[in-house]
Amino acid sequence: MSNEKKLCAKRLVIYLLFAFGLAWIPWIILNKTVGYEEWFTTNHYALFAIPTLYAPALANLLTRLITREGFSDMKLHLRLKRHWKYYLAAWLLRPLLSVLSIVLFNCVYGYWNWAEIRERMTFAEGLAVVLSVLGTGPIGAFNTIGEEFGWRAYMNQKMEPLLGTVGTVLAGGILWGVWHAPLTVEGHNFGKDYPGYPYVGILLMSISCILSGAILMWLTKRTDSVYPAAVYHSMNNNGGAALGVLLLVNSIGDPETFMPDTVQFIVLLIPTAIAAAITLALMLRERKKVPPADS
Amino acid sequence: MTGLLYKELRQNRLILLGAVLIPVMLAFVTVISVAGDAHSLQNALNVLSGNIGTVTRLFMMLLGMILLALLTSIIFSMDESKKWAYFTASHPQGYRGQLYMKYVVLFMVLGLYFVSMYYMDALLQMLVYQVTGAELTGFTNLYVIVFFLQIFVNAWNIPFMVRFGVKNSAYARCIALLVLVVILLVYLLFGPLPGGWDSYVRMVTDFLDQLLKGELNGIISVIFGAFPLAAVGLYLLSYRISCKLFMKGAAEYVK
Repeated sequence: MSNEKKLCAKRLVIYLLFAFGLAWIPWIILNKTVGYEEWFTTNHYALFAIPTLYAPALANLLTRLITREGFSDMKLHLRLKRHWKYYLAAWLLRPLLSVLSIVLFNCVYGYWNWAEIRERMTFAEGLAVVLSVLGTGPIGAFNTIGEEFGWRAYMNQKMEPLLGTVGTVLAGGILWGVWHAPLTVEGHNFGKDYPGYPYVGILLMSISCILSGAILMWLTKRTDSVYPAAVYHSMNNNGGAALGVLLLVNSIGDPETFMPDTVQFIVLLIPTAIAAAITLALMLRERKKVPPADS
Repeated sequence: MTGLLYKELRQNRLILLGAVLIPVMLAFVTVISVAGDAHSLQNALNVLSGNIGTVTRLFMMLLGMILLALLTSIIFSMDESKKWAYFTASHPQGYRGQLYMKYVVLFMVLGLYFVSMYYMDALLQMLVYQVTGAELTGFTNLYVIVFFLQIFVNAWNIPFMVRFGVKNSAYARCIALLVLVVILLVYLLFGPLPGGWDSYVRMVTDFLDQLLKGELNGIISVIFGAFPLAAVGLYLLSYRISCKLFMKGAAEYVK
């Protein structure tokens, strides 16, 4: 292993210690003392809860400071004019994948019934939801940049020379998924009522993070900027991922609170998996064009 | 472009700082203003969670909007100089690059203000809950609307500031609005109106009736839903218009 790779590995380990430590310690304390619902869904403990959203970003800065790496290549350039197409993709891809997921789900499980879908809400109501999600979804980027500035702008950069692009997508996704574990255990993503709780939840979260991670890594690499990834992540968290719910039917129960089982969840992931595979292939093609400096 | 951004950030650093600090200051003033008769922090926070507190917070939000509007106009007034305008026009990025960066920095200011408001609101909610056990209604949705409203207002204001200068733009905007109102009045008085005034009065009363009955909820929610997209779209259009007007405006700068 070359010295540069050793240095990358050292920085990566320090970064991960910070990213996990700064988030997990307060999360576990808050979960045990006041309970997940109390601190996560209300602002009763905002002073302690908000900084944990920025734990990966803080880990990035602290690692750079401690290892004397400096603050270059932070991926904070906007590059909006040159890469507006990628910003557009970051904005629209998540809602599109969500809609495709539910269309596929309805087709696979035989729930596709346009008349029933139309019964749930009027055209105007549906349009209002779509417009408001598209309009306000990206605003949450000020929160999600806390994660993206860590995972995509730092961890991936350090991991790729060590594990390659595929390895970074896989290992980075697993780490990112496991990082959410204290929340997943408390039912944040999938509730608590499923077979194999909580291990299956953590596993599904990791799979989901691997797939989303590939798309986010592609956006970051193509634009050399962290903002498109933050926008995509924000769309995911603020309605974009749930937009497809408009196409669910009442036959499955209350569509608003519908929780898929493990197999259904995997079916729902198929469009994202295809998008992830395409972005991964694009990154590999790009990598072939530029031979690695340290070979 | 990086150089222009750096120049804008450096030039407007106090405005950026102001966008972060105004909500902090307003939150502080909100607590102080209700604390006057309360005699203790606990009583003050109790008052804050009631109706008086809600009205005070709304008033402070309006005050913040006014302060921010004053700050954002400075972004454009700082470069109102003929020499600088001609220099930027000869720059490889041109005046388009400069205007682009001004729009980006203004967006940053509005964004920072929104984020600061959002977090101050969260902290105020925490403070009230921890001290009194009462729930403070969150204003996040209102802040989102205010954010897009400010984008919308700036999208309208900036081309006037670019064309007529910051000082004269207020007059120009008033005149433009007046012209629009006069055109509307002339049309209503002399235009080809099917059915005359009565039908219009009936239309308005029917509209209000439907609104109160909730029959227009769907359309209203579409309008509210489309507003953020429309505001951002207008902001982009505003940049294009400003680019067209910049050199005409620069020729009329006093300095």
